[in-house]
Amino acid sequence: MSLYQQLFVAPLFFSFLSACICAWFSFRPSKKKYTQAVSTFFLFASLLATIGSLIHLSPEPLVYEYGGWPSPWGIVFFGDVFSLSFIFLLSVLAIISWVFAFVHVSLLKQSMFFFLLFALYGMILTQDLFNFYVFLEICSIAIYGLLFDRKHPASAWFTFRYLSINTVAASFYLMGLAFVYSSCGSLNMADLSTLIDTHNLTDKIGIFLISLGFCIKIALWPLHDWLTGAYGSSESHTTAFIAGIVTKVFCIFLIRFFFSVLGGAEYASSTANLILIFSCLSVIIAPYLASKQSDARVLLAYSSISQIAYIGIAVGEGSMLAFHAACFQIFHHAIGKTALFFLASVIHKKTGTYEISNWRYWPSTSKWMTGVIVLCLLSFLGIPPLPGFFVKYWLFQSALQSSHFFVIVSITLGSISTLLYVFFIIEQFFEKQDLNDFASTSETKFRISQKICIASLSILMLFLIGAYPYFESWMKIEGFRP
Amino acid sequence: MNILQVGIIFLFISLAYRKGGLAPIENHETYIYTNPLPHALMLTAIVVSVATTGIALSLVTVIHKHFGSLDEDQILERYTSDTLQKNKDMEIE
Repeated sequence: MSLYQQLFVAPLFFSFLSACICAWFSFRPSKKKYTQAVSTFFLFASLLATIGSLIHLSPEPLVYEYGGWPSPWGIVFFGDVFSLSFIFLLSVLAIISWVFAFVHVSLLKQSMFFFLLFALYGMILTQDLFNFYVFLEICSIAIYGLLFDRKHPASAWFTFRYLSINTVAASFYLMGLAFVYSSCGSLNMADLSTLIDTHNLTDKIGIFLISLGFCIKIALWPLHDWLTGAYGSSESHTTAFIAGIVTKVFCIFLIRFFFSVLGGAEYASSTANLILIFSCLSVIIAPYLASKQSDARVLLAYSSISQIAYIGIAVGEGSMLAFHAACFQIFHHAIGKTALFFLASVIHKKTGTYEISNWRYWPSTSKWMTGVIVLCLLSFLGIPPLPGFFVKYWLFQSALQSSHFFVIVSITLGSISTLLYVFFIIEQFFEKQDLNDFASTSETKFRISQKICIASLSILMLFLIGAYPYFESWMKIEGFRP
Repeated sequence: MNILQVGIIFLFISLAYRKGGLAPIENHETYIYTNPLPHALMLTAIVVSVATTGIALSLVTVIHKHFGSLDEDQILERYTSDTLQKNKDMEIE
Protein backbone atom coordinates (compact mmCIF):
# COMPACT_ATOMS: atom_id res chain seq x y z
CA MET A 1 0.00 0.00 0.00
CA SER A 2 1.58 3.25 -1.09
CA LEU A 3 1.65 6.49 0.85
CA TYR A 4 -0.90 8.16 -1.43
CA GLN A 5 -3.43 5.45 -0.72
CA GLN A 6 -3.21 6.09 3.01
CA LEU A 7 -3.05 9.86 2.79
CA PHE A 8 -6.80 10.39 3.12
CA VAL A 9 -6.89 9.27 6.77
CA ALA A 10 -4.21 11.85 7.68
CA PRO A 11 -6.79 14.58 8.62
CA LEU A 12 -8.19 12.21 11.25
CA PHE A 13 -4.75 11.76 12.77
CA PHE A 14 -3.81 15.46 12.54
CA SER A 15 -6.98 16.72 14.20
CA PHE A 16 -6.69 14.17 17.00
CA LEU A 17 -3.08 15.18 17.57
CA SER A 18 -3.89 18.89 17.78
CA ALA A 19 -6.84 18.16 20.10
CA CYS A 20 -4.48 16.33 22.46
CA ILE A 21 -1.87 19.11 22.25
CA CYS A 22 -4.46 21.81 23.03
CA ALA A 23 -5.89 19.81 25.93
CA TRP A 24 -2.41 19.18 27.35
CA PHE A 25 -1.31 22.83 27.10
CA SER A 26 -4.58 24.17 28.54
CA PHE A 27 -2.77 23.85 31.89
CA ARG A 28 0.01 26.11 30.59
CA PRO A 29 -1.76 29.04 28.88
CA SER A 30 1.57 30.86 28.43
CA LYS A 31 2.42 28.43 25.61
CA LYS A 32 -0.73 29.33 23.65
CA LYS A 33 1.19 30.87 20.74
CA TYR A 34 3.08 27.64 20.02
CA THR A 35 -0.05 25.48 20.16
CA GLN A 36 -1.80 27.93 17.84
CA ALA A 37 1.01 27.64 15.33
CA VAL A 38 1.05 23.83 15.55
CA SER A 39 -2.74 23.59 15.20
CA THR A 40 -2.79 25.93 12.22
CA PHE A 41 -0.07 23.86 10.60
CA PHE A 42 -2.05 20.65 11.17
CA LEU A 43 -5.23 22.20 9.74
CA PHE A 44 -3.46 23.21 6.54
CA ALA A 45 -1.67 19.85 6.41
CA SER A 46 -5.01 18.03 6.51
CA LEU A 47 -6.34 20.22 3.70
CA LEU A 48 -3.25 19.45 1.61
CA ALA A 49 -3.54 15.74 2.37
CA THR A 50 -7.17 15.78 1.21
CA ILE A 51 -6.31 17.61 -1.98
CA GLY A 52 -3.44 15.18 -2.57
CA SER A 53 -5.65 12.14 -2.23
CA LEU A 54 -8.35 13.75 -4.40
CA ILE A 55 -5.81 14.30 -7.18
CA HIS A 56 -4.54 10.73 -7.00
CA LEU A 57 -8.02 9.25 -6.74
CA SER A 58 -8.56 6.48 -9.30
CA PRO A 59 -11.99 5.00 -10.08
CA GLU A 60 -11.22 2.40 -7.42
CA PRO A 61 -12.04 3.83 -4.00
CA LEU A 62 -9.28 4.08 -1.40
CA VAL A 63 -9.53 1.65 1.49
CA TYR A 64 -7.68 1.90 4.77
CA GLU A 65 -7.88 -1.21 6.94
CA TYR A 66 -7.70 -0.28 10.56
CA GLY A 67 -5.09 -2.41 12.32
CA GLY A 68 -4.65 -4.54 9.19
CA TRP A 69 -7.96 -6.40 9.55
CA PRO A 70 -9.70 -6.86 6.19
CA SER A 71 -13.19 -5.65 5.41
CA PRO A 72 -15.97 -7.73 7.02
CA TRP A 73 -14.09 -8.33 10.29
CA GLY A 74 -12.19 -5.16 10.96
CA ILE A 75 -13.05 -1.49 10.78
CA VAL A 76 -12.46 0.02 7.36
CA PHE A 77 -12.08 3.66 6.35
CA PHE A 78 -13.36 4.28 2.88
CA GLY A 79 -12.37 7.12 0.54
CA ASP A 80 -14.46 7.49 -2.61
CA VAL A 81 -15.33 10.67 -4.52
CA PHE A 82 -18.34 11.22 -2.29
CA SER A 83 -16.58 11.09 1.08
CA LEU A 84 -13.39 12.84 -0.09
CA SER A 85 -15.35 15.79 -1.52
CA PHE A 86 -17.00 16.30 1.84
CA ILE A 87 -13.70 15.85 3.67
CA PHE A 88 -12.41 18.66 1.45
CA LEU A 89 -15.40 20.88 2.28
CA LEU A 90 -14.96 20.11 5.98
CA SER A 91 -11.24 20.96 5.89
CA VAL A 92 -11.85 24.28 4.13
CA LEU A 93 -14.63 25.33 6.49
CA ALA A 94 -12.58 24.22 9.50
CA ILE A 95 -9.71 26.47 8.44
CA ILE A 96 -12.09 29.38 7.86
CA SER A 97 -13.80 29.01 11.25
CA TRP A 98 -10.42 28.53 12.90
CA VAL A 99 -9.08 31.80 11.47
CA PHE A 100 -12.36 33.63 12.07
CA ALA A 101 -12.97 32.80 15.70
CA PHE A 102 -11.48 29.68 17.20
CA VAL A 103 -7.91 31.06 17.27
CA HIS A 104 -9.08 33.50 19.91
CA VAL A 105 -11.03 31.20 22.25
CA SER A 106 -9.54 29.40 25.26
CA LEU A 107 -7.32 26.36 24.79
CA LEU A 108 -9.88 24.00 26.29
CA LYS A 109 -12.50 25.12 23.77
CA GLN A 110 -9.90 24.77 21.02
CA SER A 111 -9.31 21.21 22.07
CA MET A 112 -13.10 20.61 21.95
CA PHE A 113 -13.10 22.09 18.43
CA PHE A 114 -10.42 19.65 17.29
CA PHE A 115 -12.13 16.67 18.92
CA LEU A 116 -15.29 17.70 17.07
CA LEU A 117 -13.32 17.91 13.84
CA PHE A 118 -11.77 14.50 14.50
CA ALA A 119 -15.20 12.95 15.06
CA LEU A 120 -16.60 14.58 11.91
CA TYR A 121 -13.73 13.28 9.76
CA GLY A 122 -14.29 9.85 11.27
CA MET A 123 -18.04 9.94 10.67
CA ILE A 124 -17.55 10.75 7.00
CA LEU A 125 -14.83 8.15 6.40
CA THR A 126 -15.85 5.11 8.44
CA GLN A 127 -17.55 2.13 6.85
CA ASP A 128 -18.49 0.44 10.11
CA LEU A 129 -21.87 1.34 11.61
CA PHE A 130 -20.82 0.82 15.22
CA ASN A 131 -17.61 2.79 14.72
CA PHE A 132 -19.87 5.51 13.36
CA TYR A 133 -21.87 5.43 16.61
CA VAL A 134 -18.69 5.94 18.64
CA PHE A 135 -17.68 8.93 16.48
CA LEU A 136 -21.24 10.24 16.80
CA GLU A 137 -20.95 10.27 20.58
CA ILE A 138 -17.48 11.87 20.54
CA CYS A 139 -18.94 14.54 18.27
CA SER A 140 -21.93 15.10 20.59
CA ILE A 141 -19.75 15.37 23.70
CA ALA A 142 -17.47 17.91 21.98
CA ILE A 143 -20.55 19.92 20.97
CA TYR A 144 -21.82 20.01 24.57
CA GLY A 145 -18.44 21.35 25.60
CA LEU A 146 -18.53 24.03 22.90
CA LEU A 147 -22.14 25.10 23.51
CA PHE A 148 -21.83 25.46 27.27
CA ASP A 149 -20.56 28.90 28.18
CA ARG A 150 -19.59 29.58 31.78
CA LYS A 151 -20.47 33.27 31.49
CA HIS A 152 -24.06 32.52 30.47
CA PRO A 153 -25.52 29.93 32.85
CA ALA A 154 -28.72 29.86 30.81
CA SER A 155 -26.77 28.02 28.12
CA ALA A 156 -26.41 25.12 30.61
CA TRP A 157 -30.15 24.55 30.44
CA PHE A 158 -30.27 24.54 26.65
CA THR A 159 -27.15 22.38 26.44
CA PHE A 160 -28.82 19.92 28.82
CA ARG A 161 -31.88 19.77 26.59
CA TYR A 162 -29.63 19.28 23.57
CA LEU A 163 -27.82 16.50 25.43
CA SER A 164 -30.92 14.59 26.55
CA ILE A 165 -32.63 14.68 23.15
CA ASN A 166 -29.45 13.85 21.25
CA THR A 167 -28.70 10.93 23.53
CA VAL A 168 -32.19 9.57 22.90
CA ALA A 169 -31.61 10.01 19.15
CA ALA A 170 -28.29 8.18 19.33
CA SER A 171 -29.97 5.44 21.37
CA PHE A 172 -32.60 5.01 18.66
CA TYR A 173 -29.77 4.61 16.20
CA LEU A 174 -28.08 2.01 18.39
CA MET A 175 -31.35 0.13 18.80
CA GLY A 176 -31.83 0.08 15.04
CA LEU A 177 -28.30 -1.23 14.75
CA ALA A 178 -29.19 -4.12 17.07
CA PHE A 179 -32.07 -5.12 14.78
CA VAL A 180 -30.00 -4.85 11.62
CA TYR A 181 -27.12 -6.77 13.20
CA SER A 182 -29.39 -9.54 14.47
CA SER A 183 -30.75 -10.25 11.00
CA CYS A 184 -27.65 -9.58 8.89
CA GLY A 185 -24.77 -10.45 11.21
CA SER A 186 -22.56 -7.65 9.91
CA LEU A 187 -22.06 -3.98 10.57
CA ASN A 188 -19.92 -3.18 7.54
CA MET A 189 -21.78 -0.89 5.12
CA ALA A 190 -20.53 -2.56 1.92
CA ASP A 191 -21.36 -5.95 3.41
CA LEU A 192 -24.79 -4.82 4.56
CA SER A 193 -25.71 -3.52 1.12
CA THR A 194 -25.72 -7.12 -0.13
CA LEU A 195 -27.15 -8.69 3.04
CA ILE A 196 -29.96 -6.33 3.97
CA ASP A 197 -33.44 -7.37 2.87
CA THR A 198 -35.88 -4.46 2.77
CA HIS A 199 -38.89 -6.82 2.89
CA ASN A 200 -37.79 -8.51 6.10
CA LEU A 201 -39.64 -7.18 9.16
CA THR A 202 -36.58 -7.10 11.45
CA ASP A 203 -34.61 -5.12 8.90
CA LYS A 204 -37.56 -2.79 8.37
CA ILE A 205 -37.72 -2.02 12.09
CA GLY A 206 -33.96 -1.47 12.15
CA ILE A 207 -34.06 0.92 9.18
CA PHE A 208 -37.00 2.76 10.72
CA LEU A 209 -35.24 3.23 14.08
CA ILE A 210 -31.98 4.40 12.46
CA SER A 211 -33.89 6.90 10.29
CA LEU A 212 -35.92 8.10 13.28
CA GLY A 213 -32.70 8.75 15.23
CA PHE A 214 -31.34 10.79 12.34
CA CYS A 215 -34.58 12.69 11.77
CA ILE A 216 -34.15 13.96 15.34
CA LYS A 217 -30.47 14.68 14.72
CA ILE A 218 -31.07 16.74 11.58
CA ALA A 219 -34.04 18.43 13.31
CA LEU A 220 -36.96 17.96 10.94
CA TRP A 221 -39.96 20.08 11.81
CA PRO A 222 -41.86 18.41 14.66
CA LEU A 223 -38.59 17.29 16.27
CA HIS A 224 -36.67 20.56 15.99
CA ASP A 225 -37.23 22.33 19.31
CA TRP A 226 -33.89 21.46 20.91
CA LEU A 227 -31.93 22.93 18.00
CA THR A 228 -33.37 26.44 18.01
CA GLY A 229 -32.95 26.66 21.80
CA ALA A 230 -29.32 25.57 21.70
CA TYR A 231 -28.42 27.81 18.75
CA GLY A 232 -30.22 30.75 20.33
CA SER A 233 -28.29 30.59 23.60
CA SER A 234 -24.69 30.07 22.51
CA GLU A 235 -22.12 32.24 20.80
CA SER A 236 -22.63 32.74 17.11
CA HIS A 237 -19.21 31.65 15.87
CA THR A 238 -19.63 28.28 17.62
CA THR A 239 -23.07 27.92 16.10
CA ALA A 240 -21.64 28.80 12.69
CA PHE A 241 -19.52 25.68 12.73
CA ILE A 242 -22.21 23.45 14.25
CA ALA A 243 -25.03 24.67 11.99
CA GLY A 244 -22.79 24.83 8.95
CA ILE A 245 -21.12 21.48 9.20
CA VAL A 246 -22.23 19.12 11.96
CA THR A 247 -25.84 18.69 10.86
CA LYS A 248 -24.54 18.28 7.29
CA VAL A 249 -22.42 15.33 8.39
CA PHE A 250 -25.56 13.65 9.74
CA CYS A 251 -27.14 14.32 6.34
CA ILE A 252 -24.10 12.78 4.65
CA PHE A 253 -24.68 9.65 6.73
CA LEU A 254 -28.38 9.58 5.80
CA ILE A 255 -27.42 9.87 2.13
CA ARG A 256 -24.83 7.13 2.46
CA PHE A 257 -27.24 4.88 4.34
CA PHE A 258 -30.17 5.30 1.98
CA PHE A 259 -28.33 5.55 -1.33
CA SER A 260 -25.32 3.31 -0.76
CA VAL A 261 -26.39 0.71 1.83
CA LEU A 262 -30.04 0.38 0.84
CA GLY A 263 -29.09 0.83 -2.82
CA GLY A 264 -31.23 3.68 -4.10
CA ALA A 265 -34.41 3.13 -6.04
CA GLU A 266 -35.25 -0.25 -4.57
CA TYR A 267 -35.81 1.01 -1.07
CA ALA A 268 -39.01 2.98 -1.79
CA SER A 269 -40.34 1.78 1.53
CA SER A 270 -42.57 3.30 4.18
CA THR A 271 -39.58 4.81 6.03
CA ALA A 272 -38.41 6.82 3.02
CA ASN A 273 -41.96 8.09 2.49
CA LEU A 274 -42.14 9.10 6.14
CA ILE A 275 -38.92 11.15 5.82
CA LEU A 276 -40.34 12.68 2.63
CA ILE A 277 -43.54 13.81 4.36
CA PHE A 278 -41.76 15.24 7.42
CA SER A 279 -39.27 17.09 5.19
CA CYS A 280 -42.05 18.55 3.05
CA LEU A 281 -43.76 19.83 6.20
CA SER A 282 -40.52 21.38 7.51
CA VAL A 283 -39.82 23.05 4.18
CA ILE A 284 -43.15 24.87 4.43
CA ILE A 285 -43.41 25.56 8.17
CA ALA A 286 -39.84 26.37 9.30
CA PRO A 287 -39.33 29.50 7.10
CA TYR A 288 -42.67 30.85 8.29
CA LEU A 289 -41.54 30.41 11.92
CA ALA A 290 -38.20 32.04 11.00
CA SER A 291 -39.91 35.22 9.85
CA LYS A 292 -41.51 35.57 13.31
CA GLN A 293 -38.18 35.71 15.18
CA SER A 294 -36.39 38.77 16.46
CA ASP A 295 -33.14 37.03 17.49
CA ALA A 296 -30.84 36.62 14.49
CA ARG A 297 -29.47 33.28 15.72
CA VAL A 298 -32.92 31.72 16.14
CA LEU A 299 -33.99 33.04 12.74
CA LEU A 300 -30.94 31.44 11.11
CA ALA A 301 -31.60 28.22 13.05
CA TYR A 302 -35.13 27.99 11.61
CA SER A 303 -33.78 28.73 8.16
CA SER A 304 -31.27 25.88 8.66
CA ILE A 305 -34.13 23.51 9.48
CA SER A 306 -35.92 24.39 6.26
CA GLN A 307 -32.78 24.15 4.13
CA ILE A 308 -31.78 20.78 5.61
CA ALA A 309 -35.30 19.52 4.93
CA TYR A 310 -34.51 19.83 1.20
CA ILE A 311 -31.85 17.16 1.76
CA GLY A 312 -34.53 15.12 3.54
CA ILE A 313 -36.78 15.43 0.47
CA ALA A 314 -33.91 14.27 -1.74
CA VAL A 315 -33.29 11.24 0.51
CA GLY A 316 -36.99 10.42 0.40
CA GLU A 317 -37.05 10.71 -3.39
CA GLY A 318 -34.11 8.36 -3.87
CA SER A 319 -33.32 9.01 -7.54
CA MET A 320 -30.02 9.96 -9.18
CA LEU A 321 -31.18 13.56 -9.64
CA ALA A 322 -32.19 13.74 -5.98
CA PHE A 323 -28.76 12.43 -4.97
CA HIS A 324 -27.06 15.26 -6.86
CA ALA A 325 -29.49 17.77 -5.41
CA ALA A 326 -28.71 16.57 -1.88
CA CYS A 327 -24.93 16.77 -2.34
CA PHE A 328 -25.11 20.20 -3.97
CA GLN A 329 -27.42 21.41 -1.19
CA ILE A 330 -24.90 20.27 1.43
CA PHE A 331 -22.14 22.30 -0.23
CA HIS A 332 -24.28 25.36 -0.81
CA HIS A 333 -25.95 25.47 2.57
CA ALA A 334 -22.77 24.72 4.55
CA ILE A 335 -21.01 27.68 2.96
CA GLY A 336 -23.95 30.09 3.02
CA LYS A 337 -25.06 29.40 6.57
CA THR A 338 -21.52 29.63 7.94
CA ALA A 339 -21.16 33.06 6.33
CA LEU A 340 -24.47 34.31 7.74
CA PHE A 341 -23.68 33.12 11.28
CA PHE A 342 -20.25 34.76 11.08
CA LEU A 343 -21.84 38.05 10.05
CA ALA A 344 -24.32 37.71 12.93
CA SER A 345 -21.39 37.30 15.30
CA VAL A 346 -19.64 40.41 13.87
CA ILE A 347 -22.73 42.57 14.39
CA HIS A 348 -23.07 41.12 17.90
CA LYS A 349 -19.50 42.23 18.72
CA LYS A 350 -20.35 45.72 17.49
CA THR A 351 -23.73 46.23 19.14
CA GLY A 352 -23.85 43.74 22.00
CA THR A 353 -27.12 42.05 21.04
CA TYR A 354 -28.27 39.53 18.50
CA GLU A 355 -31.44 41.47 17.63
CA ILE A 356 -32.21 41.22 13.93
CA SER A 357 -33.08 44.94 13.90
CA ASN A 358 -29.37 45.68 14.43
CA TRP A 359 -28.72 44.38 10.94
CA ARG A 360 -29.87 47.76 9.65
CA TYR A 361 -26.32 48.97 10.37
CA TRP A 362 -24.84 46.71 7.69
CA PRO A 363 -25.19 49.04 4.67
CA SER A 364 -23.35 51.83 6.48
CA THR A 365 -20.70 49.49 7.93
CA SER A 366 -19.72 47.63 4.82
CA LYS A 367 -21.33 47.53 1.39
CA TRP A 368 -19.51 44.29 0.56
CA MET A 369 -20.82 42.41 3.53
CA THR A 370 -24.38 43.54 2.81
CA GLY A 371 -23.85 42.10 -0.64
CA VAL A 372 -22.72 38.77 0.84
CA ILE A 373 -25.83 38.60 3.03
CA VAL A 374 -28.10 39.30 0.07
CA LEU A 375 -26.21 36.74 -2.04
CA CYS A 376 -26.64 33.99 0.58
CA LEU A 377 -30.29 34.82 1.19
CA LEU A 378 -31.18 34.92 -2.50
CA SER A 379 -29.40 31.60 -2.93
CA PHE A 380 -31.51 30.06 -0.14
CA LEU A 381 -34.52 31.43 -1.94
CA GLY A 382 -33.43 29.81 -5.22
CA ILE A 383 -32.92 32.73 -7.60
CA PRO A 384 -31.68 31.28 -10.96
CA PRO A 385 -27.93 31.75 -11.32
CA LEU A 386 -27.28 30.97 -7.63
CA PRO A 387 -26.59 27.43 -6.35
CA GLY A 388 -29.88 27.17 -4.42
CA PHE A 389 -31.75 27.25 -7.73
CA PHE A 390 -30.03 24.12 -9.08
CA VAL A 391 -31.00 22.17 -5.99
CA LYS A 392 -34.65 23.03 -6.45
CA TYR A 393 -34.41 22.43 -10.20
CA TRP A 394 -33.05 18.89 -9.69
CA LEU A 395 -35.64 18.16 -7.02
CA PHE A 396 -38.42 19.39 -9.32
CA GLN A 397 -37.21 17.15 -12.14
CA SER A 398 -36.92 14.17 -9.84
CA ALA A 399 -40.41 14.75 -8.41
CA LEU A 400 -41.84 15.06 -11.91
CA GLN A 401 -40.23 11.76 -12.94
CA SER A 402 -41.61 9.93 -9.94
CA SER A 403 -44.89 11.95 -10.15
CA HIS A 404 -44.74 13.05 -6.52
CA PHE A 405 -46.83 16.15 -7.03
CA PHE A 406 -47.08 17.02 -3.35
CA VAL A 407 -43.27 17.46 -3.36
CA ILE A 408 -43.60 20.06 -6.13
CA VAL A 409 -46.37 21.82 -4.25
CA SER A 410 -44.43 21.87 -0.98
CA ILE A 411 -41.21 23.15 -2.61
CA THR A 412 -43.21 25.96 -4.22
CA LEU A 413 -44.96 26.81 -0.94
CA GLY A 414 -41.59 26.54 0.84
CA SER A 415 -40.03 29.05 -1.55
CA ILE A 416 -42.91 31.43 -0.93
CA SER A 417 -42.51 31.20 2.83
CA THR A 418 -38.72 31.58 2.45
CA LEU A 419 -39.53 34.89 0.78
CA LEU A 420 -41.06 35.99 4.09
CA TYR A 421 -37.86 35.83 6.11
CA VAL A 422 -35.59 36.88 3.25
CA PHE A 423 -37.58 40.08 2.84
CA PHE A 424 -37.82 40.45 6.60
CA ILE A 425 -33.99 40.63 6.73
CA ILE A 426 -33.56 42.75 3.60
CA GLU A 427 -36.21 45.12 4.94
CA GLN A 428 -33.87 45.88 7.86
CA PHE A 429 -31.30 47.36 5.50
CA PHE A 430 -33.74 50.12 4.56
CA GLU A 431 -34.64 50.98 8.15
CA LYS A 432 -33.74 54.40 9.45
CA GLN A 433 -30.26 54.38 10.97
CA ASP A 434 -29.11 56.26 13.99
CA LEU A 435 -25.40 56.31 13.24
CA ASN A 436 -24.34 58.32 16.28
CA ASP A 437 -25.88 55.73 18.53
CA PHE A 438 -24.10 53.01 16.59
CA ALA A 439 -20.68 54.69 16.63
CA SER A 440 -20.72 55.02 20.42
CA THR A 441 -21.27 51.30 20.96
CA SER A 442 -18.90 49.94 18.33
CA GLU A 443 -15.55 49.60 20.03
CA THR A 444 -14.36 46.35 18.55
CA LYS A 445 -12.97 46.48 15.06
CA PHE A 446 -13.98 44.31 12.18
CA ARG A 447 -10.72 42.38 11.88
CA ILE A 448 -9.08 42.03 8.48
CA SER A 449 -8.79 38.26 8.95
CA GLN A 450 -12.55 38.10 9.46
CA LYS A 451 -13.12 40.04 6.27
CA ILE A 452 -10.89 37.61 4.39
CA CYS A 453 -12.84 34.67 5.84
CA ILE A 454 -16.20 36.01 4.74
CA ALA A 455 -14.83 37.02 1.34
CA SER A 456 -13.45 33.51 0.80
CA LEU A 457 -16.83 32.02 1.76
CA SER A 458 -18.57 34.16 -0.83
CA ILE A 459 -15.96 33.21 -3.43
CA LEU A 460 -16.66 29.55 -2.66
CA MET A 461 -20.37 30.28 -3.11
CA LEU A 462 -19.72 31.82 -6.54
CA PHE A 463 -17.40 28.93 -7.37
CA LEU A 464 -20.34 26.56 -6.85
CA ILE A 465 -22.23 28.28 -9.68
CA GLY A 466 -19.34 27.46 -12.01
CA ALA A 467 -19.09 23.92 -10.63
CA TYR A 468 -22.68 23.10 -11.53
CA PRO A 469 -22.16 21.72 -15.08
CA TYR A 470 -19.41 19.34 -13.89
CA PHE A 471 -21.16 18.28 -10.71
CA GLU A 472 -23.32 15.56 -12.22
CA SER A 473 -20.42 13.70 -13.79
CA TRP A 474 -18.17 14.26 -10.76
CA MET A 475 -20.30 13.18 -7.81
CA LYS A 476 -20.72 9.42 -7.43
CA ILE A 477 -21.39 7.02 -4.60
CA GLU A 478 -20.47 3.35 -4.30
CA GLY A 479 -23.26 0.82 -4.39
CA PHE A 480 -25.96 3.17 -5.70
CA ARG A 481 -28.30 1.40 -8.12
CA PRO A 482 -30.49 4.09 -9.71
CA MET B 1 -32.10 8.10 29.44
CA ASN B 2 -30.04 5.66 31.44
CA ILE B 3 -32.79 3.05 31.44
CA LEU B 4 -33.03 3.34 27.66
CA GLN B 5 -29.28 2.82 27.29
CA VAL B 6 -29.17 -0.15 29.67
CA GLY B 7 -32.13 -1.65 27.82
CA ILE B 8 -30.26 -1.45 24.53
CA ILE B 9 -27.15 -2.98 26.09
CA PHE B 10 -29.17 -5.97 27.27
CA LEU B 11 -30.84 -6.27 23.87
CA PHE B 12 -27.43 -6.59 22.22
CA ILE B 13 -26.17 -9.09 24.76
CA SER B 14 -29.28 -11.24 24.41
CA LEU B 15 -28.58 -11.37 20.67
CA ALA B 16 -25.24 -12.98 21.36
CA TYR B 17 -26.69 -15.91 23.25
CA ARG B 18 -26.84 -19.35 21.69
CA LYS B 19 -28.46 -22.39 23.25
CA GLY B 20 -25.84 -24.34 25.13
CA GLY B 21 -23.16 -21.87 24.15
CA LEU B 22 -20.08 -21.39 26.25
CA ALA B 23 -17.82 -18.45 26.77
CA PRO B 24 -15.77 -17.87 23.62
CA ILE B 25 -12.48 -19.15 24.97
CA GLU B 26 -10.46 -21.53 22.84
CA ASN B 27 -11.55 -24.99 23.76
CA HIS B 28 -11.11 -27.96 21.45
CA GLU B 29 -14.02 -30.04 22.74
CA THR B 30 -17.00 -27.71 22.34
CA TYR B 31 -17.93 -25.95 19.14
CA ILE B 32 -20.87 -23.80 20.22
CA TYR B 33 -19.75 -20.38 21.38
CA THR B 34 -21.71 -17.32 22.26
CA ASN B 35 -21.00 -14.46 19.89
CA PRO B 36 -18.29 -12.31 21.49
CA LEU B 37 -18.76 -9.29 19.21
CA PRO B 38 -21.88 -7.77 20.84
CA HIS B 39 -20.15 -7.95 24.21
CA ALA B 40 -17.18 -6.04 22.84
CA LEU B 41 -19.50 -3.47 21.23
CA MET B 42 -21.45 -3.02 24.44
CA LEU B 43 -18.30 -2.43 26.46
CA THR B 44 -17.74 0.63 24.27
CA ALA B 45 -21.39 1.63 24.55
CA ILE B 46 -21.19 1.45 28.35
CA VAL B 47 -18.16 3.76 28.35
CA VAL B 48 -20.00 6.20 26.07
CA SER B 49 -23.13 6.16 28.24
CA VAL B 50 -21.09 6.77 31.41
CA ALA B 51 -19.40 9.76 29.75
CA THR B 52 -22.71 11.30 28.62
CA THR B 53 -24.30 10.73 32.03
CA GLY B 54 -21.31 12.44 33.64
CA ILE B 55 -21.69 15.52 31.44
CA ALA B 56 -25.45 15.58 31.97
CA LEU B 57 -25.03 15.47 35.77
CA SER B 58 -22.42 18.25 35.74
CA LEU B 59 -24.77 20.39 33.64
CA VAL B 60 -27.57 19.65 36.11
CA THR B 61 -25.44 20.96 38.98
CA VAL B 62 -24.74 24.18 37.04
CA ILE B 63 -28.46 24.58 36.30
CA HIS B 64 -29.31 24.04 39.96
CA LYS B 65 -26.69 26.57 41.09
CA HIS B 66 -28.00 29.24 38.74
CA PHE B 67 -31.75 28.72 38.72
CA GLY B 68 -32.15 27.16 42.17
CA SER B 69 -34.51 24.56 40.79
CA LEU B 70 -34.65 21.57 38.50
CA ASP B 71 -38.28 21.97 37.45
CA GLU B 72 -38.65 22.81 33.76
CA ASP B 73 -41.48 25.31 34.24
CA GLN B 74 -39.67 27.21 36.98
CA ILE B 75 -36.43 27.32 34.98
CA LEU B 76 -38.18 28.67 31.90
CA GLU B 77 -40.03 31.24 34.03
CA ARG B 78 -36.78 32.49 35.54
CA TYR B 79 -35.06 32.42 32.16
CA THR B 80 -37.71 34.63 30.55
CA SER B 81 -37.78 37.01 33.53
CA ASP B 82 -33.96 37.24 33.32
CA THR B 83 -34.01 38.13 29.62
CA LEU B 84 -36.82 40.67 30.16
CA GLN B 85 -34.76 42.27 32.92
CA LYS B 86 -31.74 42.39 30.61
CA ASN B 87 -33.74 44.08 27.84
CA LYS B 88 -35.06 46.66 30.32
CA ASP B 89 -31.52 47.36 31.52
CA MET B 90 -30.40 47.92 27.96
CA GLU B 91 -33.27 50.31 27.27
CA ILE B 92 -32.40 52.34 30.36
CA GLU B 93 -28.78 52.56 29.23
